[in-house]
Amino acid sequence: MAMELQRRAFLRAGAASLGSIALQSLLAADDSAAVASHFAPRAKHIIFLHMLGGPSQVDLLDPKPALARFEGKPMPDSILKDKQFAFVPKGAGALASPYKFAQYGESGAWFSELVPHLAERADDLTVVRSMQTDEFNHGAGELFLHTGFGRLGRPTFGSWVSYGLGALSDSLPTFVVMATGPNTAGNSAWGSGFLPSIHQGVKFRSGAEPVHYLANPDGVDRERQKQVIDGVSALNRLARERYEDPEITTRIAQYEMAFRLQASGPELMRVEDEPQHVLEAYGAEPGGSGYANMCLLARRMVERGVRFVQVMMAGWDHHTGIYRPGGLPRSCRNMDRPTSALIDDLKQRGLLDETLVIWTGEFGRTPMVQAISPQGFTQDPGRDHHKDGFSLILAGGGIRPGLTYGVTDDFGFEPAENPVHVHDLHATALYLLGMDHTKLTFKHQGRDFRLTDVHGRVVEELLA
Amino acid sequence: MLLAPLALPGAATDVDFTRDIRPILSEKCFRCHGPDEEARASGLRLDEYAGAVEERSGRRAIAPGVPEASELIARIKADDPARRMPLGGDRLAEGQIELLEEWIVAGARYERHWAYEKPERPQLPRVSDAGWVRNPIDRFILNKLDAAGLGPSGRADPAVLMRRLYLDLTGIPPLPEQIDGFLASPTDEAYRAKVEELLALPQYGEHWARHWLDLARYADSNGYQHDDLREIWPYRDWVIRALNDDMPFDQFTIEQLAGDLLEEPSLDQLIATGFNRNTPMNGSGGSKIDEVRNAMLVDRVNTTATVWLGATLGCAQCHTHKYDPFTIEEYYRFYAYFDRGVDETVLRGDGNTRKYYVGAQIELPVSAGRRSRYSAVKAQHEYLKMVINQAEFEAIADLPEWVEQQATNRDLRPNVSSALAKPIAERTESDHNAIRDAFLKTRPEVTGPRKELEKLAKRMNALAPPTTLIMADKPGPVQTHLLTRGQIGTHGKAVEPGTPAALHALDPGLPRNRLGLAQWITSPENPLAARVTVNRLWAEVFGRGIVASAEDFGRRGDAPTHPELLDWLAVEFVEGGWSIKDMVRLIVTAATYRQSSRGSAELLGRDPDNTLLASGPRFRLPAEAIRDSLLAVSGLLSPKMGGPPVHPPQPDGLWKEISSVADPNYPTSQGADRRRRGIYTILRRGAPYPSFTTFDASPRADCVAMRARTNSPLQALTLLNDPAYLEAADALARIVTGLSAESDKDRLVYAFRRAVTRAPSAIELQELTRLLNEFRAASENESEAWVSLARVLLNLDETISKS
Repeated sequence: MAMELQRRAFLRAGAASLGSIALQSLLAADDSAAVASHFAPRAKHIIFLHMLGGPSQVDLLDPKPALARFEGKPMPDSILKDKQFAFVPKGAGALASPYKFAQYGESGAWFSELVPHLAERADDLTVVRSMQTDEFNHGAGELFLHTGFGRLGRPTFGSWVSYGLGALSDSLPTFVVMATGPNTAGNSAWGSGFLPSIHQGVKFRSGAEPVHYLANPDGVDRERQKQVIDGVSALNRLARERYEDPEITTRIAQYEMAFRLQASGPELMRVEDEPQHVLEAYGAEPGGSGYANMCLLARRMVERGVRFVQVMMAGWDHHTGIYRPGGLPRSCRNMDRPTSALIDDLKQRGLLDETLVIWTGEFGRTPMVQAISPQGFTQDPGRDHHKDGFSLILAGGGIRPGLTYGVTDDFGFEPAENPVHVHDLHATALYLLGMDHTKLTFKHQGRDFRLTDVHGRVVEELLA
Repeated sequence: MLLAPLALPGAATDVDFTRDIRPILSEKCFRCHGPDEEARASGLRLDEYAGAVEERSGRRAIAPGVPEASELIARIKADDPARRMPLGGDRLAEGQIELLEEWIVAGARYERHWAYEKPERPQLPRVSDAGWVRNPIDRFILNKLDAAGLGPSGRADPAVLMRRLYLDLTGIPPLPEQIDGFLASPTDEAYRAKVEELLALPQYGEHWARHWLDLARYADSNGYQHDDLREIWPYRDWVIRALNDDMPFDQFTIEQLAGDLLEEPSLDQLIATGFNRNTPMNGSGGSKIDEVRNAMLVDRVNTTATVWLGATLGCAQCHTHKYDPFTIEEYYRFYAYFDRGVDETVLRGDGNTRKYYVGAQIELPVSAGRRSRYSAVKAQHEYLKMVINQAEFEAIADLPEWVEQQATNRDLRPNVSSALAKPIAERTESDHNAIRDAFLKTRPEVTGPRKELEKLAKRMNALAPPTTLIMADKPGPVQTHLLTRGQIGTHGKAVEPGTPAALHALDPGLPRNRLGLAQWITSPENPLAARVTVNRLWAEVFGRGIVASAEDFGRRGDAPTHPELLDWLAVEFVEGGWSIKDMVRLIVTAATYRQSSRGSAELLGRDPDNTLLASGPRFRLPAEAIRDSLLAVSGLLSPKMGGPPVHPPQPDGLWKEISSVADPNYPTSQGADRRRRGIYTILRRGAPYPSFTTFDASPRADCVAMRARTNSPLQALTLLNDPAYLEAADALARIVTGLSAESDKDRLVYAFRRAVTRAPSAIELQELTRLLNEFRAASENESEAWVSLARVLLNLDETISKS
């Protein structure tokens, strides 16, 4: 089993036999997880909800009454130390949250009034308040969140999972990405880096053609497409006899998979097939392209065997006007109900146990105010990027529900107890999928690379 | 049943340090007992003889000749996991332990890593069949096959061989009429003549430049947020020209690394330095200038080391290399060569913090006519700007009245309505701007000339003399400091430019700048530059290097499958005057290259990666060559060379998916520019041409010595459904139906040959005929049936492969 992973790692990118692995990872059905596991897996899927821009933890999940006492006054030096920020100057005053917080559920977890639906599910959720990352700019931060490294070139979490565990479906990709708007790191936030490109995320877009070149060209119907593919395969089989090259066998299988994907892709996207009450629970609508539709699609994907779904919701970079109706409140409104519906839906269908849901930004936001725009003008208050302490939500997939883990200092600036680094998040998630983050390696430029680089610890306290 | 895998080439009874022992020590021991002093456990180092045999508290890790007295053996065999080495790792395999014991019995002899020894020209080995040999390469290959009890494959079918040759030398398959002459008389002489013909074609440079541009991480944009486009395509054209001119590789190296430092550099020598301006640049507003600069310098150091030294020097950026003999201080000495460069990022505009990539650049000469047209349009542009300013100034008088009328206007943009909702005293500067802009958009005397100005700007940009980014150093001295753990702001020890001590010596007479570095790299004493270069040429042709880890010739890299061949080629390369064309010629005229690529169950079982080359190369083409091939097969490929990047059609909206991009609209090319060779397709790092990405093209985020080769359903979707390939199928169908052919058979044979070069077998022809008739039965007309048949041909594995 572990040997299988080593064998894969041993095969270098560019080796002729990669195709046969691709085939195996595509066609191996449900048992491929067992093939590549280091431990007994608790989860089979991950739904990674990435709030692009960085949600404000002190307004949503981590109440800090002390900020009110310091409102407008500079943060104590003992807290600030020599930290760097993207835009706020040293000496920026604290900014208290105007929102009411309360405790919910049997667990008594704290949520603000901006996320009432999530609050109702307090006992299904786990909040980590002591998250840390290394990067405080969007591009580097997104890369760090997804690849464990702040510069271009490394494989993303989803591609590592695809590489390590292979496919669960023979008609859908292993790693799917959806986004409501542009993200800073672009394709690299779901790229495969130096892993073979078969492991990169496949971006599903709304509209007639969810995947590039999924639809037949104009004037070609499904029957004709089938004839063409059958013809290609028939001639490829003759070529295989001629050259005795196993790559050709893989090619034949990929054409068959492509044909299936042409049917399963659009079928997957047909949210109108869902009952009205489900659409309403999410706030999704047929033909829609928003976050609500993506949450519903994420459930449909998991149900159909997609292993890793990455949803990126734009609109959380509240440098200015954070408390205006169109600022943080609007982002929360658009996020809160669909995310909650997703949790309920997975739970009802018995999928939550085998699906780890991660909700997070690439970083959080400063407890201090950003009152000056990057252009130097006075502006409506907002919060700047903050990497040293932020909050995320986990659910399902072997995570202990109802837990609030980690404590930040009085200002929500950095962890006072139990810090959890992005590397630890990766290590823990891989563990839940049955993989040892120190053993999931790929040799590149002479070095065995890992998702967690030389860091990462499995946060056992978070495990159910 | 498959046979047992082949034993290691030449595996005899003698234990060989480089082949058998170093890999074990490297993998299992050096991490804690290697060159890195900081990571060293118990002060013990095992990468050097002296350290390994040193007596420590009465014991020695290695007691030469006496494994029983060697602590190393005791510890790797220990049952207690707290004592057993490697700590926390799996127990060594029995075979590995035995090898170590035998090695110690034989005296525990250490050898320097082979790649750091200067290659000597080896004797040509004996072979079983001298008649098979066409040049020295074949002796080395056959000698190993002999030892393994294997024989070479037969000659490739002449048409298949022609396809292979055209693809390797030009990246485009031949049309039937181009090779009919050769097929009529496929002699050795005719073959050699073909080689010469193809080496002289300009398509040779276009094809081989792709490989070099992967190493040079060439792209047309900065990457990261904004992903601004940059103008540096003259560098790409320089590479194509230099390869076509067969510029000696040492000169090719010097001009790219230090053309600007040559005496009175020519325009071309300056353009060549774009090599190191190809680095990505993070221009986002929040990024810190010193970090951005450091990331670019690090990229230059790592790229230079990978390309010319096959060294993973990047591993020494934060700590001394764990496996190879490079210290962190040496890393920063290498870095110091690049640290003298001028600043390359600027901020523009009112306190905006986003960065632009500038630095040194030069204008390319243009014709006098173009220059004067440019000046004229530029003057018109300036004038029109004045006109607009005046019109705006006059219009502003009506602004207060307009503002009053807006109270009931519900169609305003939210930022405008919220600005208007505020009392004047509370409006910020951006509020005022928003109001003013909205107002001016309602005035035809402003909007009219503004539209005109946009058109003029487009014309002006098209006429502007092209520029390109080049390297330049600051005039004064620059002091470089080591960055502890690679971190900015940790001003460590001051260091001077220099090269790693484990490699050949740095001549103290060389200048202490990039020119000196380039001269050190191209010194005949360099054990690596020639080896890594010929190895990559070999890998491009055979699909795998003699050293499979083309980017890593260090201790953890792969051992060469044919070390003597590698050295022979390296010496030949340097002594022959560093001619790349000579090396390519040598490779493609070898009998090894001309073998059939047909595999067999036996070969697959014994040598699955074809490391011994008992058959010819067969693998899928690189992304650009696939598209070029399909366009060529269908007669659509434009032969135009050079110039600014082109924008072939791609799915809508991809550039809009780049964050904060200044130019979100993809300007799809018109006419022949839609069908140029892939090397001219714009490479925007944040959103590269998607069908290239699907076929493993590099997004050029960093130096890539060898691309992966995957086989995925998205590739099938691209070839089946990309409208560009339907267009190609349509064009191919028209060529075929337009033939003055007698029969379906003639047409089918011709079409098949266009796609895969060889003629179909009887059974393939039968299948093609059956398909054609099936399509006819389902089609409304004859041409529709042929388009479907053409789609089949363009999707064949063989059409996108070299066989």
